[in-house]
Amino acid sequence: VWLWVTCNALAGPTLGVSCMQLALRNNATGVVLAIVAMTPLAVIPLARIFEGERPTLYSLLGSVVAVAGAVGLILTK
Amino acid sequence: MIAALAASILFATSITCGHRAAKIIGGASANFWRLVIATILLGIWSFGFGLGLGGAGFTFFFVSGLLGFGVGDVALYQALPRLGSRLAMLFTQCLAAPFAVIIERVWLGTQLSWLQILCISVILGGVALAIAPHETTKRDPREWRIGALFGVLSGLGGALGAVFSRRAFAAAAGAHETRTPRFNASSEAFLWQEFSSPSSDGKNPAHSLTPPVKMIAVTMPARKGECGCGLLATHLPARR
Repeated sequence: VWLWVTCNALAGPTLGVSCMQLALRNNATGVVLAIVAMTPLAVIPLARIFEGERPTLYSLLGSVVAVAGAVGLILTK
Repeated sequence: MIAALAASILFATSITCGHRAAKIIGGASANFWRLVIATILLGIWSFGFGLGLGGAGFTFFFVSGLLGFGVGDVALYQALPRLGSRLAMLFTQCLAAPFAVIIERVWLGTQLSWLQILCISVILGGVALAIAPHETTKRDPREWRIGALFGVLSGLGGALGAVFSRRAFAAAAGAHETRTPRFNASSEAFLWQEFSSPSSDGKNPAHSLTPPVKMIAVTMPARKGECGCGLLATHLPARR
């Protein structure tokens, strides 16, 4: 259990927040928050791998649309 | 931009690990120990290699934590039992970015291009499509209105918190500080209290969520990330 707790602490409040702050330092808040809003979508493949949870058609479609938007956002920079 | 993507992936990883840990020792305990470990790590980092508490941006970071976390997350937890996990998440995730665009435009004068706004809209549309509840649930209209209000407040709190972080960076840059980790333990204790406290019906709302929303809520502060965590390890400019 300590492995999961430590990974949770490292990935979220330590490295995740650091990356978020780094992003906010260099990018507009709206852009950063839009990309970070994709977190629920990034959970989908992890949930599939670790929990065996099958993604719904809507979640897959939504992910494709959101990723297209993120790619567009990167290309516009 | 890459940092934002990395943050998103790291938050998702954190959520997955948090979900695993919560299954074994319970959500409140998992969150408590997560915060203890994170606080120690960030404390070592910021006090050992940075300025610790202080610096030109400290006040803004502190307020950022209070708004993003104190207002944003508290409102989210009020919205959760009223709207359901998916709808509450939808409000928070999809409103924070537009609010932030407007607030930053008015306060800091940051102007996004129409193309950027279009891309942000596409991203949020995709997120909405993915996490919106597709089944109809009958809800009390009054409760729904109150929940929606809290949902909006949650998005607003998150946006304000993030914009205050941006303002803090501007303040730090104005004070000619160079990159150094900074520690802002604005409200870790508050986070613990918030997450571990039961809802009005005596249940922790995180216990009634559906995965992957449940996984997200279990580690909600990590998801909020920006300042909602209240513990900000930042690459701030250090004094020359």
